[in-house]
Amino acid sequence: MSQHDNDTEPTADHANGHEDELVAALVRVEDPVAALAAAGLDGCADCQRLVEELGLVTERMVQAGRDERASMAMARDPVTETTEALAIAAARGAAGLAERELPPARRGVVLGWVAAAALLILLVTLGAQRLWPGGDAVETPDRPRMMSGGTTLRAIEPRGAVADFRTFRWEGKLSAGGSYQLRIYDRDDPTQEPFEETGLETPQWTPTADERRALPRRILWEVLRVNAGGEPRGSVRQQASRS
Amino acid sequence: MASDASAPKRSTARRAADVDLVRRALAREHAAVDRLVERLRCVPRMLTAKNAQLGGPLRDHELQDLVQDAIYAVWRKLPEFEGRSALETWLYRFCFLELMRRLREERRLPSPLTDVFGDAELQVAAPSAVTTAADTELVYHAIAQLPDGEAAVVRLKHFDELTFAEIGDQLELSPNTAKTRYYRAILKLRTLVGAPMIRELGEGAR
Repeated sequence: MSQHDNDTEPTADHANGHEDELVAALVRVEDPVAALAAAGLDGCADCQRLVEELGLVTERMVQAGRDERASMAMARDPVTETTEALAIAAARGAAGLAERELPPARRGVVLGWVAAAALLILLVTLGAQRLWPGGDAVETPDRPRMMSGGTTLRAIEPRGAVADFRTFRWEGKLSAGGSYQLRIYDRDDPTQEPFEETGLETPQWTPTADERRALPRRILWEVLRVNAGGEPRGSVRQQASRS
Repeated sequence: MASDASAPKRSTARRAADVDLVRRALAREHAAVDRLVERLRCVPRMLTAKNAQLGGPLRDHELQDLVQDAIYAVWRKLPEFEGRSALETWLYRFCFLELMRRLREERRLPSPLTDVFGDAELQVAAPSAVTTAADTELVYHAIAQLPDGEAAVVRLKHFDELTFAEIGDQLELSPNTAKTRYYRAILKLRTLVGAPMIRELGEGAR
């Protein structure tokens, strides 16, 4: 038990000697002042003031609890398929990242190499971003991009405004037997099922003329890297629109 | 109102199962990872619902971005989940604070005591929704500053609406000890929550 949990320490100077009554009054959240009067403490001005102030605090707690329960009840409504798909992809990506963690004994051996590789990738990425303005990247700095195998998955094209979606291209490295899955979402109609191309062994996909015509004008495309067992090992997303 | 006496015990068992699920998922058990990923489906629902409740300050693509960031952040935070509340409740509190943080960073959260109609471009919530959210945020942060034992009593009392007998049962305390802890917690919260409340009221009156 920590010192904070010591249930016998005094609490407030003016409450000394009346603690039992104050506790009894306060725990009757519905009307602590009346409870205090019932305890015969009408004459204790400090006690009255304290209980009134604490009553305001408990009201705030009650309100926060009510707000939480109401918000959680509202959160049962379904969301758009795109949002749900992105959430699942992110969860699988995060889980894949967790799976990449090494046991402590191996961590020490490879730590230097990992740090050096991470620094190199950071410098290359920052340099590329400076040289390549535009493009409406979905990722944020908080969202890890280093995935299983220590290689970065990076969306190359299309990004931002383009004439047409001629080729979808990304960078990454597959583990033995692994493949990529490409999903293309309609940003203007999230209720549409995403277009999906699976089993891609190279980091690109070129749609046929018919497929290109069928693609929506504003898209969010996502690449998932999966291992030989079909388990996700990272993902990357990019937005693009056809002018 | 008749209460279900076995409900707190069932709740305790569910929380223990949640802790076990999280522990096994973090230990990379594939079945547990899959189940946890399924449970995380509530994250976009929570963020979408709360954003709507606040008047939709985040647009669809911004919300989708936040959903993904929040899920990565949740995963990093999972080792801290101790089962003091149900997993979904823990996720809700985390998501709510992430949303409020993002809204503040993006300056999309009008102060409830200033001009909420200042930016015609932004959809802003009714002042009452913003005020309530800001109050709840303050309460969450204040409770987080309490010692664990006291925070647990306050959460069980006001968020789970348990009686002191049920709280004692769940935390393996006598009801009187639960009451005393509650009293001490509320005394501390008077400083943590009461002082900002009084400051706000003073500013609002000016």
